[in-house]
Amino acid sequence: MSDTAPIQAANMPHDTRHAVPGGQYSVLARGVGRTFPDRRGHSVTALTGVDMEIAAGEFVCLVGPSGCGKSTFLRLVAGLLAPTAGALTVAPARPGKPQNRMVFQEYALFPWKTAEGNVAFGLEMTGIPKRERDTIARDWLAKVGLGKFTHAYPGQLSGGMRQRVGIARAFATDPDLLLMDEPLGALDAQTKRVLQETLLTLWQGEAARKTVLYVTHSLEEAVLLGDRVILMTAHPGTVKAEFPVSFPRPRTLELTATPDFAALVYNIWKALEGEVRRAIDEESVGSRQSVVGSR
Amino acid sequence: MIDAATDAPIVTPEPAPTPTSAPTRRAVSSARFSPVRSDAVLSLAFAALLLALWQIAVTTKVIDGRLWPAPLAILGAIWQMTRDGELYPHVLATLGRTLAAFVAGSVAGIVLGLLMGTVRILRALFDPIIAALSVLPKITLLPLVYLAFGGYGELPRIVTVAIGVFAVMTITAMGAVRQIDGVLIEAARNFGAQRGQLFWHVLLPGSLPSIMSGLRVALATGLLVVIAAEFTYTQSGLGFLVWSGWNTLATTTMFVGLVCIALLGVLLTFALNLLERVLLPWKRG
Repeated sequence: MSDTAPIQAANMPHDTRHAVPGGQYSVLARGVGRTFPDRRGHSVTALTGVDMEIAAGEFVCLVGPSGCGKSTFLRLVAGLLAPTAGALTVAPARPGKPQNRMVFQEYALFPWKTAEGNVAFGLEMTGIPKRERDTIARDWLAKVGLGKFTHAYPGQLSGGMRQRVGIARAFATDPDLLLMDEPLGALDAQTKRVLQETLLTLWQGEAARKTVLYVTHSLEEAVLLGDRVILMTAHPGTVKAEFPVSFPRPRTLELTATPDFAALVYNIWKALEGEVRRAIDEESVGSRQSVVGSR
Repeated sequence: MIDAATDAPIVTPEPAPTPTSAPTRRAVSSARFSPVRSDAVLSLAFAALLLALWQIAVTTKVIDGRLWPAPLAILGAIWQMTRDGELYPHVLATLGRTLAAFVAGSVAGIVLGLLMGTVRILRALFDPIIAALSVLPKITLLPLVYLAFGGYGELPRIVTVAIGVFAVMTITAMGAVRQIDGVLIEAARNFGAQRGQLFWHVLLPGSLPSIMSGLRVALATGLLVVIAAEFTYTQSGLGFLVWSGWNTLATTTMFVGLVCIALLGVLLTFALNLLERVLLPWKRG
């Protein structure tokens, strides 16, 4: 498994610009699969044969039709689920730092904790003293523009503000690997743009850039943020293709106005289109079957 | 009701009305008589009207005042019994039993319920017993508890009430843990929470809102069982007051008991609302 020769041969033509010096991978997946038991006891395959290598410091976006197992893959990398097939290696954390932290589409903030309490949560769990973690939390809240809302509860914040807290919570723990599960998926189009800019600023501003695995439905978002866009097939999910994104950094939203940007988004869409149609067809067949089955 | 009362004063000050423009006048009048406030006035007025009709019906001898004492007569009796010091012991007896049983039953119920919600094996073990207990009218356990304690007395009475509170709180707390959004538990685990931390930082605070509503239900159950348990084998308590009033056809005493029980219920509910404000600061506003 650790032999590198079959890795190159195994999958898509690999973009050599992202080959890592000394094989410094953050995430290395070989034939990773995951099946779940369904309600009738049959096993349903959510993911199969996923090969992926993510270099340290790389920003990788996962796109694919609904239900293609993107979120499942993220949870496997996070260690919240175990793979049922293949080998998944995630680089160990630096001493005293967490290996990975997630940002969730549903924000997943604790309603009973203030913005500050939420951002400090990860630090509290690993035993950082109160004064220190409160300082770090306030610092990160200021960085995401919520300096005045340290004592607000999530219920008092808008969706965009909540996800700023969610992003600050992940960054504050200083992990090597950030796992983002459609973090802006629940936000309106304009708030989304503002937060895309915030994410770019935060990530590009780090002295040592963190590795990011970013799940999204939006191809524009993937191309704007990512170093690489990985396309997944419809159910069961596996890697179909990948696209290097070579626009120089630091990037801003201005990039989205260029023809090259639009062309790349369109190319990715053409590769994805068939999968999306297949997913829609499967979904409608599935719902028809379940209607028949329930009679 | 209490919420409505505290909400009512929050009326946005409107600019002075310009008498010429009709729309502005409408806006002002709706701000001054908010629907919440006028509803409260209406409910109070209607209750007062019913009481007045009752009073008039007794005075005009439409109904028999010896069986259905007039509201003012009941009020007079309460005043009289309070001055004579006759009422306190009964109120204190009922309050003491209720509080003792409520605290013991709810603490035990919340602990078991939270455990059952978290540990699957405990849920499997206790679920049928708790389910059976919860559908059983708790007062039917009183003779059984007397039997278990080898006779009448204060302790079996309180234990019976506590069992009633316990059943409600076990089911509530178990449901409360299980309805916590799974993504919060994922987030806690991803951010490094160990088992104990998960409980104190997520499962317990996440269960509190449901537990607080459960306490209200448990309080009603507890009061019901306390009063019924006071009907027999005791000379104290508001339940005794009602029951002895009935037995001697001293209906005024009976009504005094009823009014005091209602007041006690309102008072304890108020205390629970206060507790909720302290424990759930994130639910305010």
